[in-house]
Amino acid sequence: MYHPITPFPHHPALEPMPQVPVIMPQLGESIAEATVINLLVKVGDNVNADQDVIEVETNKATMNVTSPCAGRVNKWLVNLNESYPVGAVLGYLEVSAEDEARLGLNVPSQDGHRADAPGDNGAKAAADRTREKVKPTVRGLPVPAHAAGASYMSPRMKARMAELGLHAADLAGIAGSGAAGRVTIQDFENFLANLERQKLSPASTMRVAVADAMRRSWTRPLATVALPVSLEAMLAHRKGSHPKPGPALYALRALAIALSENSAPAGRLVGNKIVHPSAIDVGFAVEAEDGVLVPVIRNADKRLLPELVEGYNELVELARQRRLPTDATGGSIATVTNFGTFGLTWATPIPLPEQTLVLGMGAGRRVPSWDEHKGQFVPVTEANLTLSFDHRVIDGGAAGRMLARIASLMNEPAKL
Amino acid sequence: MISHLGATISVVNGILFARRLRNVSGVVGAASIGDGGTSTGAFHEALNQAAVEKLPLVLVVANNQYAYSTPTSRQFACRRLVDKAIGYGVSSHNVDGTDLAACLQVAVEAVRLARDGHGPQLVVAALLRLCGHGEHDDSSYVDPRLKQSLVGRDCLKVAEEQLIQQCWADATTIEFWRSEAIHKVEEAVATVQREPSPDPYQEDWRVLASAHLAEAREDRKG
Amino acid sequence: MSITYLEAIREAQARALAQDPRVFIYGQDVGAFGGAFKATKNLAKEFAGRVIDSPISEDAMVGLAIGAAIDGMRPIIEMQFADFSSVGLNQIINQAATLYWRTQVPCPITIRLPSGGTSGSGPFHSQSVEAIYAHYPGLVVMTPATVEDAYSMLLEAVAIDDPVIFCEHKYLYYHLKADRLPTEAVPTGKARIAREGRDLTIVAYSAMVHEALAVAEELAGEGTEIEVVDLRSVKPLDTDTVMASVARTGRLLCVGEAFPWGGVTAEVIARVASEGFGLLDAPPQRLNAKDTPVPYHPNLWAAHRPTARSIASSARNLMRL
Repeated sequence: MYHPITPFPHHPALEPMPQVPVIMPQLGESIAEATVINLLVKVGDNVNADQDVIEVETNKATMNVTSPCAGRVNKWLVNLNESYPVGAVLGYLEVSAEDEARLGLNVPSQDGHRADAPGDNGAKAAADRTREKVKPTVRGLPVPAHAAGASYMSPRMKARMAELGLHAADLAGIAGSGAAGRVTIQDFENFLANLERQKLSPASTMRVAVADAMRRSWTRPLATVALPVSLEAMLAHRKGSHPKPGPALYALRALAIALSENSAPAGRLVGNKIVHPSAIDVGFAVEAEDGVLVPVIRNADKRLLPELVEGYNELVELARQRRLPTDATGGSIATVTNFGTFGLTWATPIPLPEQTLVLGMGAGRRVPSWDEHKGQFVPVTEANLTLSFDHRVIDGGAAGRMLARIASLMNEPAKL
Repeated sequence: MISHLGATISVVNGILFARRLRNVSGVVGAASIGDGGTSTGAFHEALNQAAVEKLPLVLVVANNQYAYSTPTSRQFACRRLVDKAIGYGVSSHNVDGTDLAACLQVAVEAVRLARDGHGPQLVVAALLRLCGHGEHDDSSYVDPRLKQSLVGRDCLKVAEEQLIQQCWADATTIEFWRSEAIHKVEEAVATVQREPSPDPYQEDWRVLASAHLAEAREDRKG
Repeated sequence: MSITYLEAIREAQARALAQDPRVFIYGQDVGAFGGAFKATKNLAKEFAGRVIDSPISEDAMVGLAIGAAIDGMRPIIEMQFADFSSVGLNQIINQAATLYWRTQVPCPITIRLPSGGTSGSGPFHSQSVEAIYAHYPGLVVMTPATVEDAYSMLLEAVAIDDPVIFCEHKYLYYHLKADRLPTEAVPTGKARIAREGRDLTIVAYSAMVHEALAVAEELAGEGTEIEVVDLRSVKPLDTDTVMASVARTGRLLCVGEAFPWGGVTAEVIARVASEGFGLLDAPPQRLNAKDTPVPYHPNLWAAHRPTARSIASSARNLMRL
């Protein structure tokens, strides 16, 4: 059995009434200091916890500094109409021993020193206390720049995530209890433990692969423009064709021709260079089981629509069965997706990570359209064409012009 | 510091001390040092310690007049180096270090006194360093007058003359000794040159006698 | 019956003297006077001729020990204060530490260093110098924190065939007590988990272990469970135990009473950072004395080295990181 050791003795002169500093709090984002304009209590007054004790002014507003706990004002260290940085010690309260211990700030002497950071065992020079450089809030250690904020992952987090094959995207929405809201390893393990309690089903390899592609694509600034387009011409052309081309194929050919006229919108931005496509290979999205496959039509600008129909249909079938040959996938410079097949009128598809553009086609609907010539509304089958794009490569104007060109090409299906 | 010989005197003291603790009698210890080494704190502490413990130590100082480039006038201020013995309370012997016969006599006497319990014996033998402090040093700073004086004699030559004069050995025997010595040195050199160099990858890099206390991981060994 | 840390050291020496005729004690004022701290009280009388007073010559003391060890003895050198061992530094680091490496002849000496500060001892009677000796290959450096370890590790030190620097803490001499001496011991080279915890690891040694335990007790009331690791020996350093603890907690605070530059705390953190980087959920922290000589005035001395309060503050900060 152990006899408890008496702690290191402290010199009596160090132990006046227990004291707690009143500290300039974080008053708002990007506020580094504030001016003291009024002392609301004087030396000797008793205060309650959270009582307003000092009035300060920032460049945004006037606000109050409150007492950290109940106590008696021992001294103020500030002058009126002078500025003090966030974290500065403004004065001291005499408090009970419990409060001093609870607030956990080491106060080795009476001279306005601030509380310790580890590795620095006590007082910094008192000389500079009123005009110190702005430092982080007293209770926090200086958080390294890359560690500030919710995105910081500790080495342990990274190791654990690598072990589990997770990415930061998987953690979106986990509440972080660490400094500046970061997710600590405890938060993470609690999150995982919680997951185990909920219904889990395995994600297919396809799902994981699509998730990865979308995660990587989303690192870019994406935007979408839309244009309603009449499908009358296309529908009429389709009715008279054997075999019938899928609606997406019309859009695909229109896109290919538009790109052959101006390939820059399908370029990739790498650093400060735009990489122009070498061939107008266009892909089209096919829903397959738990995800989406994108078969490719090579040199889509060089072959007419009727020649492409059979190959297109074959590719759709192979894609659905997930039996696409390797030369029919990859390397496309833009994609077409017919989300109208799901009945959707509007969507913002996400371009593949290596592409800048995805052309979307919504469901056709009968809508009234003003016929200037007849002077009345006439029924027209209309659908939304959407163009989603990487905004680093092209702007709304260029996207709009491309979309307009595609729409006009789709109005002359015989030329596709 | 230059010389570690000051530090080794107390090590000899330790051995003599241990023998005494184990009641081994008739033991004498010997340590040698140069004039420069007598300035080290270690020399002082060790000689003092030997004196206080009255250890049977024969401490031979080969005063060859120079410690690297420093003459004895810059090494100590007593009139004679051997006078330091007075301060330590030990017996002293001053001898011509170039004279074999004189040295023999002093050595025998000093060892006898030590063995008979008279405490440490400081023996200071004067001679001259006839070469540089090391191979790189041409010792051009040595006072040429010293070279001409008695202390500058080559003690091996003096010894040879004495051996022959005293009929302790003849010229043939001396020649035999010389060639035997040369042979031994050459043989030692040849042997060592044929020995394989240590392989850093085979070396166990072991610094502690207690294997179980070594730091386990290789990379922690630096 | 209760026994103090100092008494345990005396008992260990008595036992060593009794059981091994090769053991003797050599130091200043250790004979009839019994030592400045009475660590050898009555031993000169009980073991006549084997507890010997030396002149004030730390270099020659260590040299003599080395010579005696070469001749088969097991000397214990008492330095009156750790601070004075610097006079014998050459003998320790150049002769004793290298003897086995150079000659394959072991050097089984034990050098006892009364270490650490007490109020009013000042710069030359307060030092903790374990890092200096740990730096040199060929030495074993022990830093017992408990009465039991002071006893069993000193006995082990005498039995070890290598030079052992035994850093005993002067404050613990009279303030630390135990009910009885141990009959068994964990060998040197293994650290001890002094208190289990899951939130934060404090690695400490010698007197700082007790400050760390006080902090653990206090923070337990706030819901933080601190694991305290007592290194016991600074060299060899039980990195595996430290690493396992950090694997449990993810947060490391290393505390030492010595000066900060290149101290034991730096070594522990360097090892954890390089070998256990993926175990850390927060930057590892250390707390040492200030980078100044130990002050004389009690006010300054009290602020110079880590205390339970400063350790608690660091621990809380580390939990918030």
